[in-house]
Amino acid sequence: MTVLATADIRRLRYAPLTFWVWGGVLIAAGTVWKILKATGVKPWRLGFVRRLAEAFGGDALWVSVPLALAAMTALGVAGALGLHALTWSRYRLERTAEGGLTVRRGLSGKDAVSIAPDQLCGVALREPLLLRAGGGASVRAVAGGLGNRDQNRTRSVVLPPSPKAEAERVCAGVLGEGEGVDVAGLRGHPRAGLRRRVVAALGWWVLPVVVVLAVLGWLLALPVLLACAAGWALAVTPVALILARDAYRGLGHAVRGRYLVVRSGTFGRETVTLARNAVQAWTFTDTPFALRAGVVTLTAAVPGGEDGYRIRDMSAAEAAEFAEYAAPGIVREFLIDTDA
Amino acid sequence: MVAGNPHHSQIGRLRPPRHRAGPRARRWWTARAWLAVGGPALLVSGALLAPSALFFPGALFWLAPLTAAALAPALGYALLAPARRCRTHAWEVGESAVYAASGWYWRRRRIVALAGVRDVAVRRGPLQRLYGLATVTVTTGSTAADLRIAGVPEAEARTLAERIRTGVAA
Repeated sequence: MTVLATADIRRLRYAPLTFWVWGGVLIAAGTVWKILKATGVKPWRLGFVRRLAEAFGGDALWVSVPLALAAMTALGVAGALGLHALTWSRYRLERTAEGGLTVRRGLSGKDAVSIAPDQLCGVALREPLLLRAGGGASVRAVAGGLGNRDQNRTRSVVLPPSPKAEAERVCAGVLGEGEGVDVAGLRGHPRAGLRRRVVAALGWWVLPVVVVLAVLGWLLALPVLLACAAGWALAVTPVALILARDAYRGLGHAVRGRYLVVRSGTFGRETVTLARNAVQAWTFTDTPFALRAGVVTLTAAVPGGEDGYRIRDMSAAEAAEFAEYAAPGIVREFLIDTDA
Repeated sequence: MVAGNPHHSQIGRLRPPRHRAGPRARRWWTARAWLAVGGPALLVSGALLAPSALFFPGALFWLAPLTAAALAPALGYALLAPARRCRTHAWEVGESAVYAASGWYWRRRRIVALAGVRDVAVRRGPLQRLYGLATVTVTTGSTAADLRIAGVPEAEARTLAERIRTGVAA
């Protein structure tokens, strides 16, 4: 029995590094609204609510809007810290002698998740955008037998947001690999992947809004909408390009010893290390556009975690051979024998 | 490279599965596409345009383009998708794995190790039964390894399922 990680108050600083700081406040506000509606309270009839709304809509919007945003952020940060403290106090991650894992956590310290060694098929280092910007990462075990997909997502977390170095150390510990599996210097993906990401980012974020605003502005003869369309295009295009580039640079895959390493994502960057012998199936997915670009998405199926882990937009010419190399014997008999 | 089918020759040395979908499967896909997408879209467009043309001809100038914009993708799907499905669709049981290809826009080729297979079933929907077809479903320990081979002639589906079962037992 080895202890891989224990509770550490300093981890609290990574807790607010998530978009849920704002999303959580919105959800809480929605819940309060629903409760008020169900109990028949009409908030706009209350004097202080009306005075607040009038003050907000007054002449100093350039003060009140940032103030409201700051208040929302403060509320969200407080919520994130509280939730982290509730969930991860008395946390303790242990690896059993047989290679299984035990995660204890919660206020009582009695909430425990046990992962049997034969259910563990890998580990995922997760770096959502804000956490990555703050130099942190969290770790999930890729394991089966933890309930349905949603239950698996909460129960498989073996390390809360922490410094990246610690997350890497825990990843190595979970796999029982002393020095860890090297996830640096992965094989990059073809240039076509960058073009596809740029096209997708512009096509989903920039084009629809600009077209809708421009058509409305033209039909309703409102030049202000045309100006909005131009403003949106100018403001969002650089962000979309930066994110597309980041997504492309994040792509990578490699075989390292007994493991298959796959990395992808920009909002949710994830580096997954899977046991090669846990792969049960390979799926090659493409579209007419991917076919023309010479790329294919290869999915490794494992009995645990998200079930399928995708190597997005890898070179179509290499995909079949990579699948055979990474998990031998599955695709072999369906390959064309060129050696003969 | 594999002759005659450019849609399979792109993934390195991976060849297409041996058994291809037959004309009956193509007729089934066509019927399904018209019943589920093309037909209803035509009906709705007719129900909108005919009364408009009879009683409110003034509305046609904006209603007709809107209906056409909604109808075009539905008709496109009903006209093109069955043929594309038929080109991709194929299956094969090997020594140690089962291999299936399907899809019309997203083309999916999945190869599942027989060692991981837990259950094999043959299912027939009411429309499939009209065309004498069946669907073979293969269940494994991972949803990303589950397989559905649709549009297989009934007798062939039974032997296919049997071959997968014996392959698993072996």
